[in-house]
Amino acid sequence: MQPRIGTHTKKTRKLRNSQSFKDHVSGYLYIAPFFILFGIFTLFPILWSAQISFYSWNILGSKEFIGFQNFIWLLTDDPRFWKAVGNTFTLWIISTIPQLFFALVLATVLNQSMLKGKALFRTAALIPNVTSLVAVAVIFGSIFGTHYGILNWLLSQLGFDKFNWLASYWGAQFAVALMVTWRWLGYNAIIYLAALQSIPSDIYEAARIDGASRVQQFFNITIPMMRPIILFTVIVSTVGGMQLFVEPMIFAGDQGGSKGQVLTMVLYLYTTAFTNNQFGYASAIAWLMFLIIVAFSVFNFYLTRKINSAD
Amino acid sequence: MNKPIGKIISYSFLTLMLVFSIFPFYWMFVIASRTTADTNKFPPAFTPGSQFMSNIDKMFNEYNIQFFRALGNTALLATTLTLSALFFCSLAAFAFSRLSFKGRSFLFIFLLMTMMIPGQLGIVPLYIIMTKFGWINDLRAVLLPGLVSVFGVFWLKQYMDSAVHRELIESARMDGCTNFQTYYKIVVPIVKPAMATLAILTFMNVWNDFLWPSIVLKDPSVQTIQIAIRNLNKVYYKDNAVIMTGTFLATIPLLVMVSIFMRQFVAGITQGALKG
Amino acid sequence: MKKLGIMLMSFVLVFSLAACGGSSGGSTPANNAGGEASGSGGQKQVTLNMWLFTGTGLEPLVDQYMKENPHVKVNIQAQEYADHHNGLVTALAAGSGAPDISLVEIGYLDRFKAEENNFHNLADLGANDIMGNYLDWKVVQASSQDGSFIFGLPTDVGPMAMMYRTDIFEQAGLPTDPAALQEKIKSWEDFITVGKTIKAETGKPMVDSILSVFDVVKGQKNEHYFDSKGELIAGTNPEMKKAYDFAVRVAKEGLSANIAQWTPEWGAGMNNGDFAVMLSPAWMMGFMKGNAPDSAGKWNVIQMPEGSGNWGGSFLTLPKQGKNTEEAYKLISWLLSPEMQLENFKANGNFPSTPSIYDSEAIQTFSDPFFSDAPVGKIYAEAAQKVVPVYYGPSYVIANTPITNALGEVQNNNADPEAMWKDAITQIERELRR
Repeated sequence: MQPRIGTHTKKTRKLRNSQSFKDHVSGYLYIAPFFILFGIFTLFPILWSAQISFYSWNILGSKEFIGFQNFIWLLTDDPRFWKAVGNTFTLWIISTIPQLFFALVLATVLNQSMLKGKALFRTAALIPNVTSLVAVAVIFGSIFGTHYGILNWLLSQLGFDKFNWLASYWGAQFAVALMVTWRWLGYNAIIYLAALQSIPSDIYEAARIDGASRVQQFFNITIPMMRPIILFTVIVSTVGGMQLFVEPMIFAGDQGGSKGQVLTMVLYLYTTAFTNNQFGYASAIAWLMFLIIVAFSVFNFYLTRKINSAD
Repeated sequence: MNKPIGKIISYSFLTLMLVFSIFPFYWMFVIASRTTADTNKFPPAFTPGSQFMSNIDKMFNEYNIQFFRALGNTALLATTLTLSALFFCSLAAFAFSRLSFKGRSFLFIFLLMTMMIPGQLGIVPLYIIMTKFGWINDLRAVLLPGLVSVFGVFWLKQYMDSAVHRELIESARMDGCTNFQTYYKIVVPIVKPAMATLAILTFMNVWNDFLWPSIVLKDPSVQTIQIAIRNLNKVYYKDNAVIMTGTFLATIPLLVMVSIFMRQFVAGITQGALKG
Repeated sequence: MKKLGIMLMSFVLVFSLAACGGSSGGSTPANNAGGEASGSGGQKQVTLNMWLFTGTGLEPLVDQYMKENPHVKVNIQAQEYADHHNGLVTALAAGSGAPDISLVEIGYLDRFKAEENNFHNLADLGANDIMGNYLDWKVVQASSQDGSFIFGLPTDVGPMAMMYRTDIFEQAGLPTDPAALQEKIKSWEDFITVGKTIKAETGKPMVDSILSVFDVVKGQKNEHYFDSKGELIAGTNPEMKKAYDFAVRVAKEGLSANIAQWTPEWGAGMNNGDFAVMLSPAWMMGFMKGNAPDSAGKWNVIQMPEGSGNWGGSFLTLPKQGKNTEEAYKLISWLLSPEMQLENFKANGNFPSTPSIYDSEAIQTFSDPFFSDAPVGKIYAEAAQKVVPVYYGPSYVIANTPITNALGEVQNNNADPEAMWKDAITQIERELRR
């Protein structure tokens, strides 16, 4: 945006050119190690799976080229896959949204300057994420058990019937959503917390002097200042939510429950690949999933932009 | 929020979160200090028992796992991978955020897209690569694929977008800084909180990862702690008390590390805040 | 950042010191090359790689073999059950990295059977001379359909018997003496009758879950979902539908406690006597003792009605990618000989697959106060010989899962069994074509 004509034109252009040249060299150089490692260890396997999706391949045997057949089956004749797509979205909604909301609240509270014992509370927030899955499975099994579960015990104390959480659709969805929220809330809070730090405190100071309320400060300073970070959390949590599978698997097994109550896309992919050994079909699932996630992320991205610019 | 009411609300909220977060972890210790049958009790046992030492003894003497060796391997991997993620990711993020070069947005969007492909299927081709390199039963098989992460680049890039202002870069250039000097002297100090966060998250992920390590690290001499702990599961009998004991012991060093990082994180933030 | 770096570095140092001893987990080329070098004694020095899952009790026996055969060095790499099999599948699919010897559990063996060229045919190494040592049905499991290809040598077996709660049976006014009860439960029809009595008298269900009943009833038939040519017969095999209908009946009569296996509630149910019988394989005894200590002395044991059943058990195979085939075969044939299986039973209770030692004192006199001092060794030995050979087929898991899901729905959500059955068959057909 610098003026094209002026007294310093020649000098500026020279500087700019050399700076642009330097930026190109440094730019490529700085991303090179990343792309080399990434290319060998991540990109190659991904491309490999793209090729496999056109084959019928039991992982231990011979491959047979079948063109788009896997995709045709997926799109036209696989109710389980579409059930998994539906579940992934409902689980995303009922776990990711409360999780991000509470994470933001937690981060805001943790960000207060007067708070004592910050390191303790912050470490505690991460404990669910470091608790081993074995323990998580046992504990959530004890909470949601039909016969001896703590929740059902509470229900029976209140005079309600015992409820089979795992067998019911919404019961299982609720349990998994709670598990996800529990495990990832602190993780997201720590990310938000770092993001809150990027806002210089004097801006708030100035706003306070102007008489802005805390809510006004939040919407007029915090949200706009954090725009790139909010975009980051939206995309990462979308991608993460779309790829959810550990929690449903430890709660309901690798079938996601006897009627697939919490069968998610990646869980379906995982059992197709590693239980049924059908790698061709699993690769097709992966790529169809990819398209769904990209579409959904783009949708989310525009939604976020709209919400941001509406303010 | 200087009013006492605000303080009380904040602390009660935090305490609630603390209990909510810590309870399963605490319960892991409860089981580790009891017998397996106590997992099946109703109502569940809520207080620690007296079997912790005997479970530790069982774990070390009856089960053939090399706990400390595995801990060392894991610490080595987690530290190296954390340092490399910090370096490579921040460097790439700097380039994506504050250097202009051709194909920048294309390459960046391309990176984001790859994040959206489920990675589970990559195991077989990755294994083929590792056998070609001769790295089965070699820590390098876990090290090399983990040196960089899209998550890290994306995170630091977004952080730089919001925290590192263009004017700062311009003035650094006026002062004659090379691009690397700008990165090192100007950008890195500003994004410290983000880097500390990335360090914590990377360290935790590496520490807890088991799927890929379990496939390439078979020999006891190279196993990571998660695999060693999983090996406490016997095919016909799973002694939950011993498994929880092992899990508990394996989590302690990680927690210590995380809280050290946290202290750094908090300190870094205070510094940053002073600079304003 | 500097401080952080220093801290990290010191952490590495501390732990690499703690890790101590030998190469710090670096390259150990001999481990995956299965290298050979000539020893000093003239006999060729051989290194064998062996993959096991944990809890097989084979490790000390391998040590003994190494002592007796100093030219053989065996690297044992034992892992958790699922990790172990995932690793083997990956190595076989990748075309390299598999060991000289690998243990394979029956649940995985049939998947591997689809592709013979991943394994050495043990018949070529002389296995036919020793297959007579093993239970007939176990040999069928170990071989290809026509019997010409032998995938592995049998390790242990999991014969099934019926554990029953004497306190509940007594309360229901039923005999608690094993001989008398055995007379009373001769058929599955009797099983339902007795179950109804217990339900009426004590209010307690007969079994933990209808899935365990389904598995045993089905296991008593030779053909399940696939015929010997590998054709899908799930929808037409009357025996399968009968087993399914029987399990449904158990649910409809209210004889199932509706508790999923391997959950904390399962252990609690055993401990508290929430169901009257456990259909349990020999190896389950250790699990019951560990998880249900309060039920000690309240269990007794009889045979299953209408035969027996098998749950679990494994095979030692020689993947084609391994080297040193001859030495590997020598090791496994020694390791799984009747004498060594008896050693393993004595040390770990893993039930042998070689009937010639069933008459040994160790097995005949094996009993446990936890199970009312019943001669469990003798009972399981008898059960092991009554197991029928089953042809599972490489896609067994694909066929079995929808059926068990259907039963789960009938049991938990009172779904219509006929509609569920039809859906399951459609799903099996859909999944098999991929």
